[in-house]
Formats: sequence, structure tokens, C-alpha cells
Amino acid sequence: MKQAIALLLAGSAFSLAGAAFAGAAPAGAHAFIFEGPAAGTDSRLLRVSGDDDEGEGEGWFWSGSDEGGSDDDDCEDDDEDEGGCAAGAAGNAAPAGSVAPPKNGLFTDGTTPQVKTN
Amino acid sequence: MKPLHAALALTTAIIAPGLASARPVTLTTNLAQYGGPGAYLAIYVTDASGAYAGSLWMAGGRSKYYRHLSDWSRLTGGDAAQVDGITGASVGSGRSLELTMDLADKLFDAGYTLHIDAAAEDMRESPNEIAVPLTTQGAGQPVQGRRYIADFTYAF
Repeated sequence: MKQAIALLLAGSAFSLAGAAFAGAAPAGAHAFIFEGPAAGTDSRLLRVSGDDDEGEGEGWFWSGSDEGGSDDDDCEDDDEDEGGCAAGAAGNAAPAGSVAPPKNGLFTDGTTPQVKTN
Repeated sequence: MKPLHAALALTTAIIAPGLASARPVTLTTNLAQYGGPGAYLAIYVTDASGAYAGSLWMAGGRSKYYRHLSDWSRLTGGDAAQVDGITGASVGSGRSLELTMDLADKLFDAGYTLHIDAAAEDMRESPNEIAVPLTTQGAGQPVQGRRYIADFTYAF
């Protein structure tokens, strides 16, 4: 706590000294100039660090969520490019082609959607 | 011979309406260059009252992340069985997902709406990013997305 106060005081001192210097500067001088971002640079704020609620060690941050760091229901060696997890693996949905589509009345029974990704 | 004709007419009468009650529909989802890993997409339908009617496709195989497709999850209780047999890989930034399926005619011009929820790792959820009424007139008309989806089109 003492360190924080000391740092705060030091920062204030530097700021005040700078302000005084600016006040004493002749008209037209620009002791402190705030320059906006250079042309062509991105001025948006960037999120540098995740917050404390992030699923630690997992690398997943989904807005408003807490994954809890558990990978228990992940299927092993999952390759999303190959169509996801194996049928029924750890509670995952069965991939297309491994079982019939649900009989939800939307599809013609017995037909499987054809998928193409470019 | 007459019994044969009669049988043929009867089977035609039974089969023909069934054939006419569905049509091949192509759903094309073009993803925006959102600069992240593969997006999970839930494509589903609600009826005229807004009630969940069923799912058409799930892009993304890990059910633990389905809760981030928040509208779909709310409507289905996160039930992965809803997408058994209609689940594929997540879809990368800038890529497109093209699905062709035989859809029931009853879905068109009857108040049904097709929805797409989207989410991606390290990025925000985007429920109901696409909500497009299923009509014959709307076929072939691109609908703009908000975050992950550049546009979506269904066509006969």
C-alpha cells in the first residue's frame, strides 16, 4: 500500500512539474502536444488482457461465460476439419452421416443434408 | 389388367403427395473475415408463434460450447440430440458453408423463420445473427449478418 502511495505521489509530482513548465513556456511553444494516431494506424482500443473470469488454462473466452476449465466432455483428437467428434463421444452430437437426421418434420425422412465448405 | 392399373393409380396417389411435400433447398452461409478461429453455427427454425420447430444444421462438434449459441440453447435446453446426424465442422473466417437438404414444403410461406446463432473462440456470442422468414419470394435473396456472417441465402 505504501508503495502505491509513493508511486502516486511521484506521478503527481511529475505531472505538476510538467504543467508548471507548460504554463511558463512562451506563447506559441508546445511543451506538451497530444498527437492523435499517425495516419493509417488503428486508434481503436485493444483488449490486451483477459479478465479474471476467463476459463483459465483453456484458452477459451466466450462472452458472459465461465467454462470452468473442464475438458472432460471433449472428445480426444478431435479434428474439426474432419467433421467434429465421433458419434456420441462424451455427449457430443453425432456427426452427419453417422446416424440419420432427427425426425423433426423438417427433412424428408431418410435424407441426409449434403455439406460443402469452401 | 384392371387390378394392375388400379394398384398403380393407388400407389401413385399415395406417393405423389409425398414427393411434392419436400424440395431440395440449398442454404449458403458466407462468413465474414472476422479474424478468429472457426465459428460455431446453429441453424434452426421457429414456427409462426416463435416456438422452436427443429434444427437444420450444427456447425461445431463439441456440445460443451453449444450454450454459447444462446438462443438455440435456450429453445432446445442445449439438447445435443437435436442435432444428431446434422452436425459438422465449425466454419472458418472468410469461408462458406453450403448445405443442400430436402426440406418440407410446409416450411415455406407459413410463418416459419430460419435462424442462425453464431459464436467463436475468444469472441462474443452472436445469437439470432440471421433471422429470415422462409418464403418462396425470399429465395435467392441474400440476408446480411452482423458479426460473423457476411450473408446468408437459401435457394431452391
